[in-house]
Amino acid sequence: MHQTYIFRLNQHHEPASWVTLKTVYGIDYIFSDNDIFNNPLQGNGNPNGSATATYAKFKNYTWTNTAQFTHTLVAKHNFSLLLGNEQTRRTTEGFGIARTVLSDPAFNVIQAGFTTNGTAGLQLTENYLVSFFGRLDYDFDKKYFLSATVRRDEYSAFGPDKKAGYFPGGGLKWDISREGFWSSIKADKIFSSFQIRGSYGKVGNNIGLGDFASTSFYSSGVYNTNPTLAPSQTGNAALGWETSKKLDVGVNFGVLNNRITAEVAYYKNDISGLIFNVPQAPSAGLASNPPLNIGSMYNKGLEITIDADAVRTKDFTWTPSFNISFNTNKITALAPGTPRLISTTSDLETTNISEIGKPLANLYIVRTHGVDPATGRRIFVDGSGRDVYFDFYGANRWTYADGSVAPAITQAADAVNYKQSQPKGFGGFSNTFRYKNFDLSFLLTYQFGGSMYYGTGSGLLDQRFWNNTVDVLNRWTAPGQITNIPQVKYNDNISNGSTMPLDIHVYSSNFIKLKSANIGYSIPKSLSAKLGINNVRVYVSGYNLLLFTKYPGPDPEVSSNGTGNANQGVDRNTAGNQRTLTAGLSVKF
Amino acid sequence: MKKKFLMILGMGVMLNYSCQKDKLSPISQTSVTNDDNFLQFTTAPRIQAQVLALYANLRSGVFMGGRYQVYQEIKADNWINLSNNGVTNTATWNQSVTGTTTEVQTLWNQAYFTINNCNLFIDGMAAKGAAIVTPAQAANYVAEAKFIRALCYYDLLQMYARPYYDGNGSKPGVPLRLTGNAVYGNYDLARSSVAEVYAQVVKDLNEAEAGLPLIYADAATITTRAHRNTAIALKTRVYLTMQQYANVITEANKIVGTANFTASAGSAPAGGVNNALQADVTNVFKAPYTTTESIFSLPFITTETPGTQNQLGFYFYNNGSVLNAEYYLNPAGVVADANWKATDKRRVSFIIASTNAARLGFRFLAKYAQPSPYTDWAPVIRYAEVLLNLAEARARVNGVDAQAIALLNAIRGRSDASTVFTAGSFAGGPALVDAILQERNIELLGEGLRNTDLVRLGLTIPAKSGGAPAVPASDPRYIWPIPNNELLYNKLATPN
Repeated sequence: MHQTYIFRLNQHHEPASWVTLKTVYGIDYIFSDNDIFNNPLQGNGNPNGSATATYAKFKNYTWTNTAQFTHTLVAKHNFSLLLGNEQTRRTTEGFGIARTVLSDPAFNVIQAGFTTNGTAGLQLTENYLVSFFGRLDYDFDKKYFLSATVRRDEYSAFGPDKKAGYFPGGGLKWDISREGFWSSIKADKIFSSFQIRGSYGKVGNNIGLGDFASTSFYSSGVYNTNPTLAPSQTGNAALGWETSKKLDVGVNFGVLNNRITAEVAYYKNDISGLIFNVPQAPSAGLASNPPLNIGSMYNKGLEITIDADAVRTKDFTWTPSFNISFNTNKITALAPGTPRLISTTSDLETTNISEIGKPLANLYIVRTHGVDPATGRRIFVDGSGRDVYFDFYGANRWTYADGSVAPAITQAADAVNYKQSQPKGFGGFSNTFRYKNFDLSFLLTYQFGGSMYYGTGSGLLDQRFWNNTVDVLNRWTAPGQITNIPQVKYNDNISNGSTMPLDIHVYSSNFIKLKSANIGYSIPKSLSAKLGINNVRVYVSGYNLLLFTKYPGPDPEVSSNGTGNANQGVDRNTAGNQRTLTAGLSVKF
Repeated sequence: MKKKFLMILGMGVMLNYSCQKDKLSPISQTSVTNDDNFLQFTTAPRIQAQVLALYANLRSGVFMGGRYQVYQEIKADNWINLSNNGVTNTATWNQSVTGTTTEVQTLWNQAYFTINNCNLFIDGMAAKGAAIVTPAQAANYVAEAKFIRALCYYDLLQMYARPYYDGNGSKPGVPLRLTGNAVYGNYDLARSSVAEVYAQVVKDLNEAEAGLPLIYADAATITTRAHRNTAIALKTRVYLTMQQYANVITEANKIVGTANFTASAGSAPAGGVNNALQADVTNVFKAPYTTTESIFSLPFITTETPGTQNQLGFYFYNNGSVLNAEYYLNPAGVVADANWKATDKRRVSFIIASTNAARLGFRFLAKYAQPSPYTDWAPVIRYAEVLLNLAEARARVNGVDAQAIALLNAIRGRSDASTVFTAGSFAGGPALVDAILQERNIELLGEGLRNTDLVRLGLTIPAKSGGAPAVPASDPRYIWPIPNNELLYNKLATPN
């Protein structure tokens, strides 16, 4: 159960006509109460019963003070200057109890009798962000627009000397259609509006960072009821802001009296000081993977959006909108001594690699070369490109084609930077129709150019007496048989990819999806007015209705095994996006 | 009015800014910050808490608190898998682990986490802590850290490295790390040889023997923290594993008398714990778990448990009420030994047949009989093992040796008075060794020594019904692979 309290105090003052002073103090409190009771009869509580209750208070305040100066210096020269300070503080405080071994199966609340008590949900952290900023806007005759901003942010979670960051930026816009020459060259006959804009700015990113991320800690525990103290977190005092310098250039224009409007923009986003928790050699024995400003990369691409007012009659309207984005991502630098960054999912499966000159989070995969028709063995490809045959019960499990013994294939030695997991392009196409009292809308989304590792597929061909898909019917059974499924051997967890990710489970993640659709009917106004009702509408709507893809898993859009963008494009036993259908009646008085 | 407002606003902003500095550098109220000031070494209680944390690291359910013993048991020959569950180590049981198997990675991680904490502690004591506590206390604490580090390295060698006899320790061991790591760095380090790692284990144990306290104030602490006898006892195991039998005898003699098999009758200077066999072996596996036979055990209580699917009782006994554990005793294993009599106390009390209709005839081990939340202590070293280590070493050095037979009788006799071995019972030294090995198998069943007892001698790990193949010493599956993550992130590490 969550309770949210939001409170805002807004004080506004104008000491002169061209000055506005404003102070806004807002609090946002969330009190979260979680209660879990596992009865002893079945499930997690069996056989003794258990219960957990936690209470957490997330308190947030933001105080913003700004002074805005607006002035028209001489005719058509408009200035506006904003100066401000903002501070945000968030504290998290939580506690709870975890009880096991229910005293009497008749009880069903945490307050009842249990024999063993433990703690749960203990948290006490805080963070603080303080900013000073200024913004200057200027325009001349609403034709030329110029803006400049600068801000200084300080954030508590960064290292002692790394808390502050300066982030300047600026932008220009030119509304050509307001120029005199625009109509004199008759451009206004084609373009009903035309604007060119460009901006360049630097911004900082602290999202997703733990409140004490830069600090190393020793924490308490118990050993036979006596207190203990052991390393619990590896910090990094040199941890600072992740920054991105974003260049954005674009045109917006309308034709046919703005019946069709379009926006074309090019962007390049240079990110430096990328923060990742970088895995260290396990034998180093660190308490956790320290966060590092590990490297740099860029995203660049083109975004195109076209909106149209295609048909507009009394009874029928149609408004389509189409957008497409192309993105290229490349890593340009990683920290010295870190030629590559390898990422592991929350299920401890190592799936992604990030290397300089390549996109972030490519799939890190061991290649295979089909199934040997003569023997039914899976053929793996080692790091040097040589075929290695695998026999689960062989005296020598791994052999070359000539039968000589090969070293076992491992991901560390033999996997390659295999394919890009990020899509190269994506977008959507939406349409809204209205015919008399009927309305219909739908949205198609799509992506292309990326690959997905379908880890589920390896589990579905695992021979440790696990449930298999019908693909296993194609298994190799007789010499000479050409198939992609090796001979079945009891307990074989290697040939089909349970122990390391194999290329046979990598698929294109291209798709087109009917993301949503909506159909409705509103009863005529004349009728509803008699009932004293403003509007009555009956509708049916659905989400994730149709999916066109060659991807074999439930949904190429879902990649939830990972925890961050360094391990994307991985689907292991992930549920697809839910398909929902809603029918409803909406009445407005 | 306007001026007033402006002033208040201005003051507010200024006040606000002046008090933000401490909010920008918050200090955790729940943890001790580890920076250049060695805050964790500034008080005697903090230092002692760090020592106890090393034991707590060792006690982790994925390490010596349960799973290490489980891997040692199920990889060997005495158990049949019941659940076919990868989480409860089917892959270890049927010899199919790879570098990405969970248990292969987690045991390594926890052992090295513990080792690094020992290293950090030893470094920190030298830099700061030695000035905070008395010199005698400092020596005790550092000796405890060295003991724990030695045990971790010994355990790692048992799972991830070829046995010592194979090439006399020349095969690759594990990365040998002896200084503490606290921050990001380049941790590429090649594996030391098996002999080099064993040499460090022995060195640490020798230093631990010199620095450890002779005794503690109460029985619980004596059992749950290392004292002098603990280091000596572990050395008998280490030397036995290295097949250095003369050294086993030298070490064991310090805590085993020649006629009276108790620790104080040995040659070690007086004042130590008088470890001794209990008249009734079942008392060793009962609360309070602190008899003088338990030289070193890792404690569990209702509020400190091994964690889900780590508990010894969960694997081998599972509450006793349903008699349906993860593994049952292999009918072709040690329980098939006809010379292990039905009246032997260890059979009567520890080998329990299921009464569950679906499991009739299945036998389980009742050494760890506490139901959930599984508070049986995890045994690490027991005096009975030291006696058997000594007996085996003497039989290997001297052939049919009177003291070896006496030691064997001490173990067998307390549980089965009707069996008495004499010199005439054995055709020669090898027959006596075999009898001692079988006695280890019976006496130490379920205590995490079986796999090493096969591997240190190069014996084939027998096949088990249900899909576990025989693994001879030449097979790569004889030992675990080096974990995938170590190979990925330690660029100098090499696979097995």
